[in-house]
Amino acid sequence: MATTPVAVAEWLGYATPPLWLQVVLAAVVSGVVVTVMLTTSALAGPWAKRKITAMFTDRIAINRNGPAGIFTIAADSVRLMSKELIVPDGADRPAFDVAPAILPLSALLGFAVIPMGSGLQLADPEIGLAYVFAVSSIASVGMVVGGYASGNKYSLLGSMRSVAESIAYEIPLVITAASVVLLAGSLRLSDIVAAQQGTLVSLGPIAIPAWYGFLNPFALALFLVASLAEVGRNPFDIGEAPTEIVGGYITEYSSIYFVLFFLGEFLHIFLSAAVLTTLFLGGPAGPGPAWLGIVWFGVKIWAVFLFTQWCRAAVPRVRIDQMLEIGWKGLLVLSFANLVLTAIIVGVIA
Amino acid sequence: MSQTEEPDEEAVEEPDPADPAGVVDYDALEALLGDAVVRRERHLNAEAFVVRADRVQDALSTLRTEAGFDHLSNVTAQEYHDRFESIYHLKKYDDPTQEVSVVVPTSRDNPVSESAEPVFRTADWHEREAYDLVGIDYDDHPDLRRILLPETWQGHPLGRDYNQDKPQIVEFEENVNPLADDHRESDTMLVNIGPHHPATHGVLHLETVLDGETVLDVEPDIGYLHRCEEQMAQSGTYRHQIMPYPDRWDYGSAGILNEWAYARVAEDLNDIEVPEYAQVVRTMSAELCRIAAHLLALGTFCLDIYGDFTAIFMYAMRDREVVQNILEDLTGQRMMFNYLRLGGVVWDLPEPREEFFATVREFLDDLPNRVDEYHDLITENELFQLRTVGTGEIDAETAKQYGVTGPVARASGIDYDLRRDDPYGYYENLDWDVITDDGGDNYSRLLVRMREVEQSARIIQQCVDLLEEWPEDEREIQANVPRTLNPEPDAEVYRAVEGAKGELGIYIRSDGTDKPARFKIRSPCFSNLQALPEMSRGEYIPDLVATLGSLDIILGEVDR
Amino acid sequence: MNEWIAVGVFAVVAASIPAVMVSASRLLRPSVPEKGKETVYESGEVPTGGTRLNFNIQYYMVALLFVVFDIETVLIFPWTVVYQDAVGAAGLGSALAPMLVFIAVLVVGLGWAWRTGVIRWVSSANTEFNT
Repeated sequence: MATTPVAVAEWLGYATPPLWLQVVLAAVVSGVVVTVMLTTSALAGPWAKRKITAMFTDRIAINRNGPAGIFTIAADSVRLMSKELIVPDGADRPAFDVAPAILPLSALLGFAVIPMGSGLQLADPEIGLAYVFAVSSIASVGMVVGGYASGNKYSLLGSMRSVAESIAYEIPLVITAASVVLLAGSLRLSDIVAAQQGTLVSLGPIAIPAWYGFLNPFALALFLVASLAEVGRNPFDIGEAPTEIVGGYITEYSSIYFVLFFLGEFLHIFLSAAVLTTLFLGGPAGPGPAWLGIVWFGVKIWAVFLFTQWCRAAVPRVRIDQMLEIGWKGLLVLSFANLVLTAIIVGVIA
Repeated sequence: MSQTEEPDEEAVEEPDPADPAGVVDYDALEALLGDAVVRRERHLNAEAFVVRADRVQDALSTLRTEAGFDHLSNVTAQEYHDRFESIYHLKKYDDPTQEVSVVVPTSRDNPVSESAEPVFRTADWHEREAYDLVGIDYDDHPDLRRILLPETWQGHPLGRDYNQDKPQIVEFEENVNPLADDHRESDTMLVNIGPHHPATHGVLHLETVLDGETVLDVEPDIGYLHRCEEQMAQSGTYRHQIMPYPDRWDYGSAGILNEWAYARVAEDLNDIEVPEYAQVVRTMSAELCRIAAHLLALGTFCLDIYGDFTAIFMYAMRDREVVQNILEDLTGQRMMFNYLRLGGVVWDLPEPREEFFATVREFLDDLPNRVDEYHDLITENELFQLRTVGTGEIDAETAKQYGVTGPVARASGIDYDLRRDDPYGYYENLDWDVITDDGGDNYSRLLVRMREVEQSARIIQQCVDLLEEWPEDEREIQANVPRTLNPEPDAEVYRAVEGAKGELGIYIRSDGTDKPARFKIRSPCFSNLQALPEMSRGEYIPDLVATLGSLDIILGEVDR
Repeated sequence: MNEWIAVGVFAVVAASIPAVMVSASRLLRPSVPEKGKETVYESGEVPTGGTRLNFNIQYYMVALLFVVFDIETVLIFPWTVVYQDAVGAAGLGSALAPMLVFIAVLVVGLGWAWRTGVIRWVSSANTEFNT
């Protein structure tokens, strides 16, 4: 399956498009991808977060502006954009200003290679999966820089916690993904999606698709837990931990900088949901015609997002030393076991 | 009782079989104390020994080790026209009806008396308060600073020559890191947690010294919510003007429990007999308050552990709302109930009574399901256990040193509940249990509160049964109390009830007028909070926050 | 068509998002600087000391371990990609065994680190003496 710019170029009659056309097409498709991701994560995300959490907790949440309070998000955006930007005295200036941009940037970059269905995929490099992990882990740099540059003790604690968190869960995450690569035999995301087409078993009229989540649910569970930690959601939201260190690394950020952090976090959740969907849930695959792909893709990443909100409403936050132990003594060992087992099974079958 | 029995050899009489509560043999005690005692005083429910200012530690440690008075319940300081006086109210954890007071007078020119801190750790804060508000100096006190008022305050507000109109300057400066020079592994860092922080349950300021994530030292700084409750009570009349104030101490829905503390002490002072019907109503309403207060404690504690306004917090609020509605039906108010009166309650149950009973019963019938739901969500959650089991531990001995009472004490295995041990109201005639747990950690404290909710429900159930059957012409809600109460001059009394957080006591000295000359509140939160450093040193920040949550302090009661 | 041109263009577009937002906000937002606002937030108290201190990073041993394992994952990935073909070409034993040995070495290392108590939050020695 060709990426969107290639497909469009072919449709325009260019088998090998010139550089200028490549850039133009890439820019247009980038615009589309970014718009799609921003509307789902930045606009619908916070609204859904509030409504979903409210449902979990017996509340109503926003309901005044527009149907189900949907316009509150617009009002909030304007409000946050027009807030005064307060930079604390002790802040380390260039670093303090750069940090908020790192988070959304790193999360957005990941979407460049995700096959979203309906033919929407900007690029499909051979090492797509490695690229996604590489760019998404830049996010923790943003947290550390922001937290340390704030000159605030809560921020310092929060940024140190974020580092601990990413070093505890990065490896289980990647090793578990490697077990999927063993099955698919490629790091190219479109190949991984393609390898999940087909049917695992047919139970009468219901055909269970050959998604890796069904093939290896154990890996899915591992990946899900590691993802929660990677994006810092409950029970691993120790980097922000409002009741302990106020807001962690975002304590001193106000106005647009706060928005950027907030946006970055949402994008990050959606990115890890997208990666999980691609690796384990067959990407955009679903019943119906192929052009419905993006809808299925959306449904799946929202399901993962819903799961994070569910955890947020119901699971307590672990302590930092416990988190480290869960990561290194639990998930890491399990993820290696999963890798070796998968390798043996795949080898025997092949 | 699970506690080690005190070897009350020579000091205390063998408990009389007819009176199992045991009586204190004050003559034997006086002999025991020897020449430290100057004379004896008669207080309303306990004798007092007047002790020389330089023999306080002697006297207290003798009473503690040899006579078994292991609970320094309260320290009251007051100023007479010719002297200062510190009164140490002692009790036994095993039997709080055995009481004795130690009165330490000092001269007005040189108000120095020996500190009780080396004998009872809890005296630390109590004496700081006495120094702060009344102006008595305590020799040998480790850290005699102001506690409720700012460091720079001039004068002592409860002293006789305090100038209220004097302008005061309050500085706003950084706090000193007591371990600033400790660089053994790395630098220490003083972090202020509170007064404006999501986890401090009100305006509490914790000066926390950290080494990385580890708490090296924590010093609670209180007084942000000091509203001169004692002073206000001293300027109100017994009969009507004091009763509204207790609602404002522990305002976490525990209003009626607080009111009862005042009602009990004032009724004792004025010899008022409360009609039985009113006692049942009181018992029922007080236990409703306890349920509401414990649900609030549960919700906020989980808020600290879960970190967001999550399901559990909202569920606890939802259930508390039901109790609040019942209390509103009963008292007309949701928080500041002002329902009790000296000699009874202000009015009878709302009409139609059947409807009220039905509402209460509906709540009680539903409660077991709710409690099951909480156990599902909280206590059976492995992550929650990981967070709470074994953190914030305090053993029974340390807890007693700090005068810890209430659910916090009972979670450390101290079998101490004034409702049973020093009966009042209608509790004696009802069938219920005192909950204890030996864990002494955050988990136990939560568990004890959850079980106490069930016990309170049992009590309410029985009260409702009683009230439903009560003959209509015998529903006497008020004793006959004179319009103005003038207790005997110089009568002194200390009385306590089991509030939501523990032993809530009040000391009153009358001067023959219709207002108390000294009104001292013994707040359980004050003593419990004092034990926080003991519980959280060497643990991590998240545990400190969890421990604070599990203590369930209400700053309105700590600061008064 | 080079995939990385598209990724590069995407990076530019993505980077413009925060830039546009910050500029838009600059046009909208007021600026009323004031001494009180600029102090670092510490629950409403005046901060004692700054954050530029010798902070006790209690997980530094784990962080070192992380570097080792992170490099290891880089080495595992190429193997996972060619694994199925390698099994076909060289048989299960020669495709799997070297990697098993490699992982085993690392796992033994992890086990050793675990046993010596490296994988834990190093609690501060200060707490022992301090009260």
